[in-house]
Amino acid sequence: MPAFLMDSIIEELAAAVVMTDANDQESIDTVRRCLNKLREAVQAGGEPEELVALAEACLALEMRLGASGAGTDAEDLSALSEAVGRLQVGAAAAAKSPKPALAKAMIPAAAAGANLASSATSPQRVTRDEETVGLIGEFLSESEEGLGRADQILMNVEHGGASAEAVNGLFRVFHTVKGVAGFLELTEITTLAHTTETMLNRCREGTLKLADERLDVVFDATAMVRRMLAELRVAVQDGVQFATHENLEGLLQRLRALTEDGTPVITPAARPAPAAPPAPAGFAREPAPQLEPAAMPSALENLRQTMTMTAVPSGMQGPETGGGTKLRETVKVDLERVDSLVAMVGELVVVESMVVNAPEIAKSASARVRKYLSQLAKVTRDLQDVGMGMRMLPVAGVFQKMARMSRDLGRKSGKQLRLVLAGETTEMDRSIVEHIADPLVHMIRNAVDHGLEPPEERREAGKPEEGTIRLSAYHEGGSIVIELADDGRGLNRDAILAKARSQGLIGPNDILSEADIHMLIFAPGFSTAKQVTEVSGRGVGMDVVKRNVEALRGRVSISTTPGQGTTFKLLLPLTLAIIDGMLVACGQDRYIIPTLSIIESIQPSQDMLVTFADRHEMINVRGQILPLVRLARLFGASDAKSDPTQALVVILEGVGRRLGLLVDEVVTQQQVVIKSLGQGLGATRFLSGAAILADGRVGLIINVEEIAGTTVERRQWSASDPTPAATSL
Amino acid sequence: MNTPVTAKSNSSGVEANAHLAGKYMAFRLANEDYGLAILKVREIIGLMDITRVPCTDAFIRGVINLRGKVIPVIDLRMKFGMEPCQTTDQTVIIVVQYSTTRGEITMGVLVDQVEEVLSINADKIEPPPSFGANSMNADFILGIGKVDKRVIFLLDIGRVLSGDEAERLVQAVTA
Repeated sequence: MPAFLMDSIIEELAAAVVMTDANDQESIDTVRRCLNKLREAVQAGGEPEELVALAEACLALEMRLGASGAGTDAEDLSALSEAVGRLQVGAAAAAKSPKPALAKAMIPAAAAGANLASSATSPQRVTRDEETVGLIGEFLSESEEGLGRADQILMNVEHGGASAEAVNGLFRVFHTVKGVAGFLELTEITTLAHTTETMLNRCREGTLKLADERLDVVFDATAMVRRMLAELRVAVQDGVQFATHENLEGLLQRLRALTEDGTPVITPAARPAPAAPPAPAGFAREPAPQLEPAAMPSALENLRQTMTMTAVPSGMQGPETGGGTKLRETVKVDLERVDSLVAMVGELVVVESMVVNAPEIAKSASARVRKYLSQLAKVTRDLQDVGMGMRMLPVAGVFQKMARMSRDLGRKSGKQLRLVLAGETTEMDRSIVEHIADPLVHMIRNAVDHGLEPPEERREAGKPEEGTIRLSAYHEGGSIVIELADDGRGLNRDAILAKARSQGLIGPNDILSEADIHMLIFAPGFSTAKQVTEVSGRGVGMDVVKRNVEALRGRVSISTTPGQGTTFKLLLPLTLAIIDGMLVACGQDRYIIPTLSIIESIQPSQDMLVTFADRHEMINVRGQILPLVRLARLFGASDAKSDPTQALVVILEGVGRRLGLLVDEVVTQQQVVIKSLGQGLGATRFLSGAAILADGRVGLIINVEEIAGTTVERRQWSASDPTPAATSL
Repeated sequence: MNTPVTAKSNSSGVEANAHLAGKYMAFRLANEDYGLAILKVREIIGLMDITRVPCTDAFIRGVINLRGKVIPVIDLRMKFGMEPCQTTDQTVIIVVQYSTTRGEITMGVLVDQVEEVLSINADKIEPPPSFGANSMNADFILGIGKVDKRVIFLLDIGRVLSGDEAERLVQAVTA
């Protein structure tokens, strides 16, 4: 088998493992497929024996991946990820020399990994009484909150230096963890927390300085506690013994050494720091250790761990507050109750507008009734705001996770970067907040890997070596904008075009607008990266961004200046439950178009209308030629207006593309509560949901993204339409 | 000699249909009588404004607002390949609820007219007929009830409304 083929199989496998989520069966199946390919490749023979041994170590772990439905735990995955990491390193070494000593040296380690894996398959079953489980549950959520706070403090310390307040904050976190863990007899967590606490205590007393190596070790300790907590959660859920942790001893030794004399100790498992952000003035940095092969898997693991970090309930941490956090009084309420309250408020809003708009009322209402009605309207509106507010969360929690992740990414990619956060207090619907983390992860990884240049290149371009990524949230109109701006090299238009052509995404002679070219990066599998790195380049990220954002009924837009950076803008609705919509008429039917997607509406004059081959209709809006879609034709309405100059064109934007949608008229603008169309309808293309209109009828909500996507994909679809009206203008 | 054999086959038929015995909501489509297990019927509502849903199968009339919930309404006549339902003052929507692997489904079924709730004993229920080898699949018919010389097709609404069976049925009938 040619070496490059083997390489590509390993690459694919590594990619699959990195993207794997223990709860996502699909991703696990992908890993399985890759492992099968690897098995075939190995069985075909001809590979260096070292490589075969490493591959077999990976294959040995396959059976531990849960079969469909059986579930897979995070530990299995991390074992596999380590094995794959070794295989990657081995393959790279094999490519360099025919008789690789390194690969050979790694076999025992790999085999040990496999052995460890198999020995760990049957952890002792333990029964815990209900009270203990409850206590552990509380411990887990409290500690996760605390660790989130610790991360925030650590990051502040890293940039601004240590303050007494910050050290105290960290101390408190580890102290609390230690206390409760001790009570619950979680010896390992207690030991780790205690050792960290001891060192922090010395820092608190002023005998040690919390910086550099010591700061790093606290970062690592936080990560380790978090990992152990995740394992504890799994262990409790499965009712098994809490497994002991392998890498703990190294970390403890580092902690102890740093507590004793302050001499940095680099154990093989130490976090490599090739691209640490510049230490604040006055603090010398240790020379960065070389990236050792053995560190690779653990780095890989770190990465995944960062990606799957459990959500920290936010609202507790203010920005830049360091150790001192202001506590707000909160009440825990069952989420279902909040949701049903919000749903009922939504109904109330609709019923209220039905009452106010009822013709009988309008006809007969006295001044007094009208006054009462307007009061009712006001109270309803307020109630709606409060109800919506109950579902709102500040984006700070997610942003904080991103800050932590970008720090790790910067270190891995060898780039210096600074993540600037703005508008963390901006509140969004909790379900949006929950779904925004994933796209943000991919966007930041993309910005770090493709956006920011390496330090040398930045220096040559006359930019500061440290790249800046700005993550901000703010309100714009009736929606929320999350913006991610980097000051890197910008999108390379020609590289994107060339790649898209070679991948067959576009034809060799297609002429695309700037926006269309930018949108190409969202195509599945698209990547211009010449090299797949640990961070990104596999072309899986950006299509996730697009899909997730669109699922939230948001939009993505890109603006870029070569050499100056790229800005991604996610335009998201304030809430998922209610949208501002424009009610349009098309023949007998009424449809709702989300106002978020509407650019403008115009009544076209004859000279704005263009046709190609008598069929493909377009509209010229101030020099911009947009496809014109007749809603009546799309939806098969027979009694709509056929003359565009008598009707109305709504200019829409979806998936970064604009189009004109011909409707009869705009009826009104109103807020509607979004409902599912219900099961049993089959596929409802072009519709994203339904809503109850003011007259009690059901209105259908148009899926602008779908229409925009379809129009561009199949430009000829008006030609394939059999309606005779197709040719008449 | 034949008598015991017949009796045996009859009794096994009764046993097989025992679970079908119960109350059925009888309704009419054209001149035919149908029945739906009463436990699947949630309510009967008068005809109301149905919002057409574009780009769906022809037998789907659209969606209605059932006290704030949006539910689809199907025209059972069109589903069975008959002429579309001409609405009269007798036309009603039977709201049915049944569970599938994807969860509970609530759906409106447009029928010409509802008649009454019938209690049908197991011995009045015949097994479903066969329509011949290459014609439609009769899976969605639970059995045939005989009440006062009337023949009532007892429908399994879940089967009627979901899956490929129904799809094939429409194709078979319209072909």
